[in-house]
Amino acid sequence: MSGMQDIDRTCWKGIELEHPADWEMTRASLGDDPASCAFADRRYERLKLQWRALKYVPDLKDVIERRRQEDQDGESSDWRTERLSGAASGWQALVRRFEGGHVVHAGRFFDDARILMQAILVWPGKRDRALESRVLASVRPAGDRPAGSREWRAMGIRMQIASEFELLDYSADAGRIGWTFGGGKRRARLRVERIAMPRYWLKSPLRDWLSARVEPDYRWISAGEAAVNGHTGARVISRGRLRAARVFGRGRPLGVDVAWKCPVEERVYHVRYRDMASGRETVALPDHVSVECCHEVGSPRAERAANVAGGAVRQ
Amino acid sequence: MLRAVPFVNKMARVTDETGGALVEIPVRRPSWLVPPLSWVLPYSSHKRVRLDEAGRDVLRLCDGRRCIEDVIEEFGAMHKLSFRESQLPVMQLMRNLTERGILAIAGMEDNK
Repeated sequence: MSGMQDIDRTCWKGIELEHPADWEMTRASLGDDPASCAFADRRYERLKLQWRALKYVPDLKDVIERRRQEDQDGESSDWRTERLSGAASGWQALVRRFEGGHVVHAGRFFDDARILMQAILVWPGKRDRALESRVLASVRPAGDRPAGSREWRAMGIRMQIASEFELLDYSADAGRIGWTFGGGKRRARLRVERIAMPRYWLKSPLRDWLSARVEPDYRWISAGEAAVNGHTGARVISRGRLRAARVFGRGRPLGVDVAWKCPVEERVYHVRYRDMASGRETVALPDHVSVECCHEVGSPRAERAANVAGGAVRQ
Repeated sequence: MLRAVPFVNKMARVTDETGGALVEIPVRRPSWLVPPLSWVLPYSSHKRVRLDEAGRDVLRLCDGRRCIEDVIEEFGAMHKLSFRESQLPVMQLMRNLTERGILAIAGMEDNK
């Protein structure tokens, strides 16, 4: 039974899907061959997605049938494998029934994007077919937005950035999520951090905290206020220390750091942008970067209550 | 693990401080620490652990009734954290407190 569950949407490396809000992304790949991500509720890993670009069109029906046959030939008494009927449209799937639950292996080839998507869904206890169909039906290549930007939405961060920027790194430490992007002609770098529990660690004005976070090889030029998403935050402009190669090369590194505190989420957002600039050029956060905030964080207690209650899936 | 219940050491004395708490736990005097050794070797009758605000909050939630899952939920609700966001710091703190003899976890065989 799916229960009365909130549904969340995740966008990661050009893929988007909907899933219960209490399935949180626990790991994700940085590479593309294949790219992957996994979601877990508080006890089990529930969903793993893996995708890669293919030049040919795979025969998924045949792949699934062969897999089923292999399983059947070596079938143990602990589990049974069946071809899944009624899978979400476009998906080929088989289900393995264990004593304690079900594992669904599904695959789909997206013709337009030429992406092969594989999904593994784990159902401890009873299988929720409606939820399973909804999750599978929602998985798709997100594509770029009209203005050439790409949406990223996971781990509590919701943002858009030009699609030429690639995710270089991410970190998910206790209460601190950080993503680093790089790209553009001048190999600019953008780091977005979402930091929880500011009442514990933010003991000084935001501007002072931000100034102290400028890297040692950057010297801050000016600090002031910034308005972001209706919140008053801080902005620090900094300049990289001169190096001969840079003087005669591509200009001088400039940086802008913007931070604000979102009272709705009780989070501090910190956006750091580093770019090369020449002459009197100044640096600012690019127009194609937007970071959303003010989204109410689902209470874990509410999640548990939702899992216990009956009813339909709602968004 | 989530169903296990954390208990605070009954001998622990918790004193609130600005920005956290001080926990003192009596330490058994080693049998070999007798005069004249005890005259020259430093010995403290209590082990002292200073907790930051997060540690103090977690310790307060460990009342012997709440299971670990409840503590994670309460801590998450206090700070608007999702379950996973709350789980990591709470489990780290509990591990530290257990290693220092401040907490004991009961019922860990229940893995569901």
